Amino acid sequence: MHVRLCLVLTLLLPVLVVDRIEAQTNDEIRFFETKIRPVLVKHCYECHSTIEEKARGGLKLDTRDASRSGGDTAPAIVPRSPTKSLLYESIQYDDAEYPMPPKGKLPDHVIADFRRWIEMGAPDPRVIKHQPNAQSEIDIEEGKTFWAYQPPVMQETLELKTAGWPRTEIDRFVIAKLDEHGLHPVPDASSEVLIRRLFFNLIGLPPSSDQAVRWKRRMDAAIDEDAKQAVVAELISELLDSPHYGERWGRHWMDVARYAESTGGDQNNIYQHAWRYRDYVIDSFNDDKPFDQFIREQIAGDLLPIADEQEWADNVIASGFLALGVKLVGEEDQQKFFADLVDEQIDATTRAFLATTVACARCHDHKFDPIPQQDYYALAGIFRSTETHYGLLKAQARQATTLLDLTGMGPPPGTPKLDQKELAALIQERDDAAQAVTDAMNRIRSGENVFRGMLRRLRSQRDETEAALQAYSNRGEPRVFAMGTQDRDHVMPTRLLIRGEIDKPAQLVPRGVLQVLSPKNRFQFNSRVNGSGRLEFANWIAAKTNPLTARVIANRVWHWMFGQGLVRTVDDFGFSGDRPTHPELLDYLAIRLIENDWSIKWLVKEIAQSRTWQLASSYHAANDQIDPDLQWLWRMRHRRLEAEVIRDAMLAVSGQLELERPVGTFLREVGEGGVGQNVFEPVIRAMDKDVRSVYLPRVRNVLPEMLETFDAPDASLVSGARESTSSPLQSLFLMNSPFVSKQSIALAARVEDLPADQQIDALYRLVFARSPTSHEREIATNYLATETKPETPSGRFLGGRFGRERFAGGRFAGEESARRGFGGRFRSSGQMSEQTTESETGQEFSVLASYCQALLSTTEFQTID
Amino acid sequence: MSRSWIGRLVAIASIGLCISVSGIANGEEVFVTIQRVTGNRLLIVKDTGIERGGMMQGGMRGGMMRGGGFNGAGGRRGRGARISGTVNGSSANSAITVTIPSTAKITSAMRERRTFEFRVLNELPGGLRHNVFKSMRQPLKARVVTKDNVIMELNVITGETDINQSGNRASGEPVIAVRPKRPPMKRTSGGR
Repeated sequence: MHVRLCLVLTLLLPVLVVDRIEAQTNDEIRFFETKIRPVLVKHCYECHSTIEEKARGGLKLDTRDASRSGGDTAPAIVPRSPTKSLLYESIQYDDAEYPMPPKGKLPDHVIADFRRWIEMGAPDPRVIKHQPNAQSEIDIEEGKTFWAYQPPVMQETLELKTAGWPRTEIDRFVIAKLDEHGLHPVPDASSEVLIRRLFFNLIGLPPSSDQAVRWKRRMDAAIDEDAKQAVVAELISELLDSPHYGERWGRHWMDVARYAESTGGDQNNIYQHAWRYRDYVIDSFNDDKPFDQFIREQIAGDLLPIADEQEWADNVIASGFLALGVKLVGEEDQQKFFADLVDEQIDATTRAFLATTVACARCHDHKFDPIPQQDYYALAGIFRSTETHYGLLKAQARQATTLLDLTGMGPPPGTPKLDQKELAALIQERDDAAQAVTDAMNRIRSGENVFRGMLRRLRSQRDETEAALQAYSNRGEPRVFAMGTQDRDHVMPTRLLIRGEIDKPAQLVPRGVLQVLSPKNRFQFNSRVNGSGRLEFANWIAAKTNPLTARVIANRVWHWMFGQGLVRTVDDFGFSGDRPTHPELLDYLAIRLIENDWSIKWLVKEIAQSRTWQLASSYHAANDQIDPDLQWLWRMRHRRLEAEVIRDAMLAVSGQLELERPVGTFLREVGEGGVGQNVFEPVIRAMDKDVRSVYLPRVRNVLPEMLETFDAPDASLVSGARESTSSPLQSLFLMNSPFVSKQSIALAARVEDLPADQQIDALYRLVFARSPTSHEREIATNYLATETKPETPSGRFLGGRFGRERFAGGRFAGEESARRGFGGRFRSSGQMSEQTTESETGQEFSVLASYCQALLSTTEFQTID
Repeated sequence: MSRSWIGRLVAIASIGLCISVSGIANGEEVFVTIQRVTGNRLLIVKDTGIERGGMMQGGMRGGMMRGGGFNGAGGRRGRGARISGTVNGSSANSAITVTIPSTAKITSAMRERRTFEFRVLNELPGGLRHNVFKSMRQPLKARVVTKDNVIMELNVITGETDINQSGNRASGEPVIAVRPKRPPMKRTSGGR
């Protein structure tokens, strides 16, 4: 008996198990595939399918489960029961509640096919299983009542107690608050202070002594306040027209855009082409590009209509904003890497332009703001459908990508042309590197043990030399590469991920924007949106109706002018951020900014001309009791300058500052690779050219020492407000840094030919843009009269009389190879330090230089009133 | 041979078959060679034998698959031998038509150069409309992941290890930059 049973089991089991779910016969499946599916695709999917991101009436017909569960009303298909199937009822058309398809009734034989199919049991091979949909409990409509999500409102009339004080509309808002809190504004700043303040705020450089004297004379000669303000306006205009304005304000924006020239993270690979975005930002500020256009170009520049090739190239470079972020390029899991990349883009975009922390909703609904997880994945769908091109070499980074080739489109190359000899050398270097890999592989194949690290290094060198060669045409002309974005050929359907985990996908989320900032039910992109949707997203952010965008940038500009925003948390306008101290003023600025064609220069001028901004920074005990944090603006904030400005100011007063913009990046001298692997940290740190600090190498975690010491951000995140710390390291740096010593010596050289009684005055005018007080003059005279040579600190630059020519020219060895941006790069720190110390030793550090160093180290030099 | 011996033999055989079939049925991934792609249907041949790297862990149950008469040749396998008809001495499987659900995740994949570990890469934009399938010139190696009889993922071994696009020219040189796609021109009468 059991033998028969076993035989039956043996024969049946494969059938039972393997074809367990093959309940549908091949004929039935064929019937579906030939008769039913084509009709569904042609007539139904347009409004009821995942691929079109549409589910009219909550119904989808592109899966079996969805068809059977139906939409808002009833199951679309009930197997073996055509009369209960809403789909069948609809396609019959006559007397149907929802006659479908809307464009016209289907032929009778097609309707008959559907009936037959349903009677068969509606065989359908499109089997899927939906994950449970994640639901949000956030009440969006209630969230819209928060101040930041309300449209800005222009307050028409302000009743003022102190009617004579305001000079501009801004002052009216400020004095109203001061009156309300029983505060009295301090007097206006002196001409000297105001001039220095304007120079540093607007162009990030100190006024030369000539400029200081000339503008002071004109301001003091004004017959009344209106005349003086006319001179001030003239000075503001002159500074705004200066090319250095873009370098100063572009640097502000680069903090927000987390601009850096390396990936950061575990490997910290160098971005060799990030500098193009840097120059784009500087040019945009100099050109006073309307801020809404600036937004569009950075998010979707590659998609904007163009007039010519140059504009195309500039727009593509602008989209580098999305490619500059921190990346863990050593990540093995490509899907995780991609999810993190998209997350970083969402975070940077929403923080920078909307001061909203959308990225918090990656794993769950936002804890404070009305941003459900669906909103995050709606944005993720946009960025997932975008290619991000940031370069790197495969042998050095697992997650390398291509760059964008802009050769011949207008932008200048970042490297000089190669002559035939150099090109031949480069080809030879590439061939040698390739041969080295081949040799190593042959040794491995022959059984020889080759150290795997060496093989990796050889492959890296081969790819590096190959990339270096590809950066030139056959004639040695440099090609133009850039970082940026492109739309993918297809939209990537995006699923909400439970807890943000890649292996826990839930429902598909159509692409769209934030619900809380959109009219009800108008936050999803419709199916006509082609491409990734970045352009629509950029237009939505840059729209005049977006309640956040203009407010956020107006607040940022206010912060950069005053040292503190009207909303102190400049990167967070959400529930956990601060509330505006002057909401009406913020709305006024936002609305006026839009009315003035989103002109940042207009806004800067508007603020700089206000009496509030021109107040002195003097102390007032009674006011301080009421408002120690200066939130009501009764005086100007005394604040330390940013790291870059201090450095630039030192170079400027010492006469060493090279004002020309360098071509490309200094990092081309170190080549491709990760810091600590192919590129050495001390080499990067030693790249101390006398250009403006905005052009210095900006490698994450390897900032120039001075910038790092004085709180320059590391560009890991959007950073609208810098820290301003005070630490002993800063003082020690000023006392011992070769850079400061060098500037001190150069500064001394500028005045040492003057008669002794004029040296001190000249130094004060150069360093502080004012004359010394009698007390200061007395101290200086006594010190210089000692004639005692100061102790020479170890490693200090020594020298008495330094001519300008000493500082000109390249300091780096290997100039020839460095020009080409490959090979011959500094692979060890020793080469650099040896070069530096050899050239600078044997000189005398004079008393005057020591005094200059003391002046450069003062608080007054590093701060503005 | 007595009836009891026959009975025992059959019992052992059926237990063995039960174990092997249930092993397939409970498996969640199967390695296949894609022969042809038509719409959302793939003509595949299940890979047999032990893959280098030991990734053959199970089978794919039916439901999504139905038999066909195609007896196609395999594609390139691992790092070398081209298979045709037989694998490791056993007969190649017959081709099966598989319908890929629209919600299945379709990704590229690769085998790690040294360990042959199967590594899933990024999603292919467009899914089965991606160029990998549209301009398919030779069979593609792939892994099919199922869960509860449903195909959840299709991981296709392609030349695409770049998260954006192919990293090599036909000549074998790495591509380090691509030309951007041209956007529309501005209308002459338009403003900014």
